[in-house]
Amino acid sequence: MLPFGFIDNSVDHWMRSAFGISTGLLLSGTMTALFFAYIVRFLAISLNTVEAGADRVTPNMDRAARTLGVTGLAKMFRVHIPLVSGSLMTAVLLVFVDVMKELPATLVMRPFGFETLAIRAYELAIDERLSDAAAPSLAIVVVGILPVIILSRAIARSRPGRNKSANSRL
Amino acid sequence: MSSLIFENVCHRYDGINSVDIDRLEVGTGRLVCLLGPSGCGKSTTLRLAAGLERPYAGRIHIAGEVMADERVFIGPENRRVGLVFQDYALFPHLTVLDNVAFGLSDLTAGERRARALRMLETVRLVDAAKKYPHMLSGGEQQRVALARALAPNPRLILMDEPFSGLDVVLRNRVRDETLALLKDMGTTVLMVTHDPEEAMRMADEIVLMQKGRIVQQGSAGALYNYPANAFVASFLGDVNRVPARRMDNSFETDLGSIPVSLATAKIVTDELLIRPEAIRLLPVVDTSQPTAEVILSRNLGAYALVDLKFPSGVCVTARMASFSRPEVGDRCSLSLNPEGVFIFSSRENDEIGDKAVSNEN
Repeated sequence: MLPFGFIDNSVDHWMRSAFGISTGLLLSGTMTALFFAYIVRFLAISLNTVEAGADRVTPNMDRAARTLGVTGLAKMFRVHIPLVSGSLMTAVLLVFVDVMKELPATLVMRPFGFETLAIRAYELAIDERLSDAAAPSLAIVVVGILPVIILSRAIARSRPGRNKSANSRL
Repeated sequence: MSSLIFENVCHRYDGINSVDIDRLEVGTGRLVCLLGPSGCGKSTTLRLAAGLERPYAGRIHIAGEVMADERVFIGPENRRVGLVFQDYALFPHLTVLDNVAFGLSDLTAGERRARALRMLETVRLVDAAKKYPHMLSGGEQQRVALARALAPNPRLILMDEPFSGLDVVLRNRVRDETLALLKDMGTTVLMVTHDPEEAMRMADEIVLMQKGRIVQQGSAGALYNYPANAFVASFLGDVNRVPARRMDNSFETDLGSIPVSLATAKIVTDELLIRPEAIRLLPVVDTSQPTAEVILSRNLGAYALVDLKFPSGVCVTARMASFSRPEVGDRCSLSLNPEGVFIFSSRENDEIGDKAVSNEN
């Protein structure tokens, strides 16, 4: 918040002294600032997941693909993307769930009138309209559970053959 | 006819020569092993052949075509070579069949499937076609990797320590099966290994490397019995280093004397290299000769290792059939089989050597 305020003020000062126009607050309280806050807050979570996926592509797999005559884009589509896509999806879902229920950063950085489920629930709760707060709160739970289901299925799929081998052993 | 030729090939990492090979040839249909300690440049040599590394200087031919020189460089995708890795590098998201069919992009879907199935038949894995790599054992994964490399009908197969991921019992079986398959198909193979036993067991020809250079190349017997220097002798098998005194006509050691031959006449050295199996234990008859005491006697099944100590402090290890193993504390005289005694000049860079040849022993 502070750096954004500083940038806004500096730009405003400079514009006013140079052109006599006030730009006001350019970044503070905009979606840009909010996105930036989310990126800072959730980069670590997504990065770990994506990195784990990228580790599945070993240098030797790359070399094997090349000696088998598959290079460039073809290699990317046939080797890299299938191996990484699972963890990319996972990262997207993880961040989505976290952003949806994130409260403090959103509360501070959001543009006026911008509401998430978490903020809605929070505002209703501080007004002691607890029964009204139930709806957005439950919505968070429901929307939060969906990705968990999708995730666990994706994880099961990213290890193909696991279930099959379990069945064949029975 | 040679499938692969290296001419004055030189490769550098950070300005330091990592590989410097004057000439290396792999004849068509032959299996050549690059052998050496880790960091000797053997894997880099393999990658140079595959096109995964670019030589700093020199020329590489495959099947008569120039693959790399000052102007030309053909990438691995156009070299038609197959590569088998230590970790197999199978694609985990593809079935065994799709893995084998991966390199067959030129064919139609039907042909691709047929060819991949045929390859799986040769490695006896048709039943596993629909499985995923992680569902297979190490030996089976190794066979899939081999089938995948062989499927596009490469001119040359390159293998990088292909058996070191397997446990000992499995390794010998997979090794023999792989060898039989490769010989059956008449495939030309360049294989990297650090295990001299593996190299001697599989290779038609062994190329021993040290510090990026070829030290000696030849058949297993040639390297083991006629090593070019002390490094070769000790890398291919165990040796005892025994202090020796140079006399006019012989090298004298506690174990006996080795007469000087034409080849060893100019050699100045203070030690001999003796293979453990070249030491014979005899009952003490002549007490004027030094006798050795048995300090350790280990039965390793087929053969026994016996550690002996001389009054002078010299210790040697002898190898013999386990049924003729002596007990700890026994005293015995020793005799040497000159076939297993190597004499090299002790000066490092002047390692001219030959086996001591004698008719007297």
